[in-house]
Amino acid sequence: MSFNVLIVDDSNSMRSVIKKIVSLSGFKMDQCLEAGNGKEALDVLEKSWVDVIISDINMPEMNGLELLAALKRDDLLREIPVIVVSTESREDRMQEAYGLGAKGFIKKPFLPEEIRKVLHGVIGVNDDGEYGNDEKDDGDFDF
Amino acid sequence: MMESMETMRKMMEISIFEVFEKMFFIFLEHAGDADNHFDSEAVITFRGAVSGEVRLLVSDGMAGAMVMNMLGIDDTGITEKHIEDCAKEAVNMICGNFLGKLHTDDQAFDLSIPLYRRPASSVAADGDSTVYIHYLSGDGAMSTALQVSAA
Repeated sequence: MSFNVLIVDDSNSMRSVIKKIVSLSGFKMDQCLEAGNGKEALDVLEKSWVDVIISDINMPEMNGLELLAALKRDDLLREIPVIVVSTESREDRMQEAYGLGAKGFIKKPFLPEEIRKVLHGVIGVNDDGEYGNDEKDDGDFDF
Repeated sequence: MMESMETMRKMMEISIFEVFEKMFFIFLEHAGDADNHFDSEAVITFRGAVSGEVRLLVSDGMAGAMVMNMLGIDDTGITEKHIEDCAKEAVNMICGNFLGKLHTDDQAFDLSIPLYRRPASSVAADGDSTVYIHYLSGDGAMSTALQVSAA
C-alpha cells in the first residue's frame, strides 16, 4: 500500500528536504504534492485526495494553524492526519496545533529519523508499509 | 526582560550551532570580530513577552555551503533563489529555536515572515539591546545579530 503526501511550506528548499527524507525513509509514497501556504494546500485538496499532510506553521497568506482550522471545519478533510513541522516549538503553540487537530508535531531543525518516526506513527504503518505500528527498524537510514 | 543579554547570547549560540549542524551539516567556529564580508542577509522579527529581531548575515561562500549541504546539489546548480530560501529558513529556525529557550511562562511568540536582502547591511558594535555573534567555517563567514526590547 502506498500513500499520497501533501507537503505545505513556503520554502521550496524545505519542501525538497522533507520530500527527500520521506521518500528515503522507507515510507511507501505514491504521489507527493506540494503547496506554498495553507490556501494553496486547500486548492490542492479540492482536486486530489491525500493520506497525510505535513505542514509548516509560519507561512504567508494562510499559515499552518489557519489551515488546520479550515480542515477542521470540513467534514471530509478533517479526516486527513496533519503533521506540523515548525520552528515554533513552545508548548502552547504545540497545544494550539493539537487543539486544531494536528496529529504530530516535529520541531525544526529536525533529524530525518524524527520525521520518519512521527510519519509512521501517525499513519500507523511499519517500515514495510503495512498497517500496525510494530516498527522493527534499527533507526538507520539507507541514503 | 526575562534573561540578561549575556544569557540570551549563550542561548542564541546554542540555537545557531543546533541549526547549522542539524540542517546544514556545517560546524562553526567563533570569530573574534566582524572583519568579514557579508553578501546577503535574512531578517525575522518576533513579538511576545519580549520583542525584537534576528538577522543572519552570510558570505556567498557560507550561503553556497548551506545550499549544497541542505539540498544535496553541487555548486554549479546553486541559484540566488536557493540562497534566499536557505537563508530565510535558517533565520526562521534560529529564531524559533532561540525563543523556545526563553523562560516566558510558555507565552507564544508571533514570528514574521523572514525577509531576504542583498547586499547585507553593515555590522555595528554590540549595544545595550543588541548582540552580534560572529562565526567562520571552512566555507566562509556568518554573523547573527539579536536585537531585543521589552514588549
